[in-house]
Amino acid sequence: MKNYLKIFLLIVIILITSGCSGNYNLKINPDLSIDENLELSIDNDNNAYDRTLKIFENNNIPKDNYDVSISSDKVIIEYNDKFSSIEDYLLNSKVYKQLFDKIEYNKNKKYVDLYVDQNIKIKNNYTKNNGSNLTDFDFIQINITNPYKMILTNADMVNDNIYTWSLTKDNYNKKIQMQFKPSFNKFPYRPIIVGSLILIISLIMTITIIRRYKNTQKV
Amino acid sequence: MCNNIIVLYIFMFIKIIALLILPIIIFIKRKKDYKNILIIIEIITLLFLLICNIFTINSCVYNSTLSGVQRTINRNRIVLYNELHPNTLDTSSSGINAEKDYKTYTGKNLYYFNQNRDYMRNTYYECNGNKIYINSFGSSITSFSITISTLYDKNINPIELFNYYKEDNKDICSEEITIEKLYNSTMKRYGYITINEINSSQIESSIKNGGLVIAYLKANKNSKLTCDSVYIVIYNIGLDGKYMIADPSLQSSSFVCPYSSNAYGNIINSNNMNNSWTLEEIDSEAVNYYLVKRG
Repeated sequence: MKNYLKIFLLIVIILITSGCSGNYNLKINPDLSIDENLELSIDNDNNAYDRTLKIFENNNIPKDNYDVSISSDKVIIEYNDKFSSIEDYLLNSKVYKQLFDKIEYNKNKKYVDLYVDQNIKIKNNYTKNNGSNLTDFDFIQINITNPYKMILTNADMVNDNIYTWSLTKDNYNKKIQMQFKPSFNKFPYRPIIVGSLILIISLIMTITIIRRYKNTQKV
Repeated sequence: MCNNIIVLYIFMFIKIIALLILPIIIFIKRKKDYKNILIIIEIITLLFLLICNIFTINSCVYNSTLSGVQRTINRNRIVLYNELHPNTLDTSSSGINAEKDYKTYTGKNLYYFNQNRDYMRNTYYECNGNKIYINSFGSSITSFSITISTLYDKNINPIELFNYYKEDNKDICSEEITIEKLYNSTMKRYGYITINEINSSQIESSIKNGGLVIAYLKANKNSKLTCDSVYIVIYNIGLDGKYMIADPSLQSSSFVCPYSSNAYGNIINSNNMNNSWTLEEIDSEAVNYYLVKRG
């Protein structure tokens, strides 16, 4: 619980102190559906509040999916979406395409593999002023909650099953790698069968030992 | 060598046979006739393991423990992972071919390159130990490459052009990559190219006469072509009098201009190259126009 509090405080401090910062949260659910959440904080100048609202309104985003509010001198933006599967997310999420050109995705019986190479579309301190449609963040934290057994990952920080990557203008050349083992079509009665077998074997062994003991007593 | 878990299991099996099972059988069956054969098999097996140990022929011999199994499994995972995502950056200019889906006004193939495509995305230069990828600086290079490749009808791809530029301009970290500097680098190698700054009223005649126009755009509140600034190529005029553009930094999905941009909230449509544009629309974002022609 303390760790959660630390992370929360860190996020709050970062949101308060930076020009444009945010969290991109993905939750992989046990049925492999995805919950997407974006939290952004930007300075409230140049009519930022109205212009932000217009982005959602002009693109017909359902009102339940977003919230734009003003807190002191910041505009706080929250956006949520749900996807029925990883494939659905990769095809239809508009948010991640602001950050990555593509997410490589491999799925087979042994693993699900998600991979983003280092060319993340974030402006850096060296970005030249000639041709870049890049997202501009002072700080963005990508948090992926994954309930499955992780095979390989290069997350900067792991807390329980939350895998975190932090990107800044100085530290932008990052890959995002995650390979995990989901339980595909897991046989639901396996623990019961294994337990029953152990019980039966234990019973047979106990009975055999008792019989032998009794036989030796008779002799 | 122990890159296959089956090999490791075989070694573990041989070890168990040699060190445990065979000695027990030999002891139990010591009065039988075939005990000599068992002893010979035991000696051969032990010698095999000994030779493997001495010459470190197979790391599986050392790994044939439970922790060895775990190490091998992990190593196999990493090997498989590296095969899936090879950690190689191909930054050579060979094998990069233009997309030729568009025609100029005079019917030439437009050699279109895009700095965000897989074939270019690993191109970078280094400043203070940081890799600066072409998606953050490359539209001047890429648009110039589109232009000269089209005029020469020859594949002069952006990475080749960037390599020339780096040879000629050592202070790449502090200076901006401009069309004028790219022109100088290209002239040295290819020659017969002219470049002139023109105004918007000269664009139509320039294109009709076989030239290509590079426009330098800067974002404003109403921008539809760029969030920041970009070099694009104006290459054709449609029957409706609108202009066709090649944007070397166009992304595969539509992009919302970020907060720091003058065009915050505007969307740069990934379909921009399939639309045609009035001169007023281009001119509202353009700062400079460069006419590029073969001399």
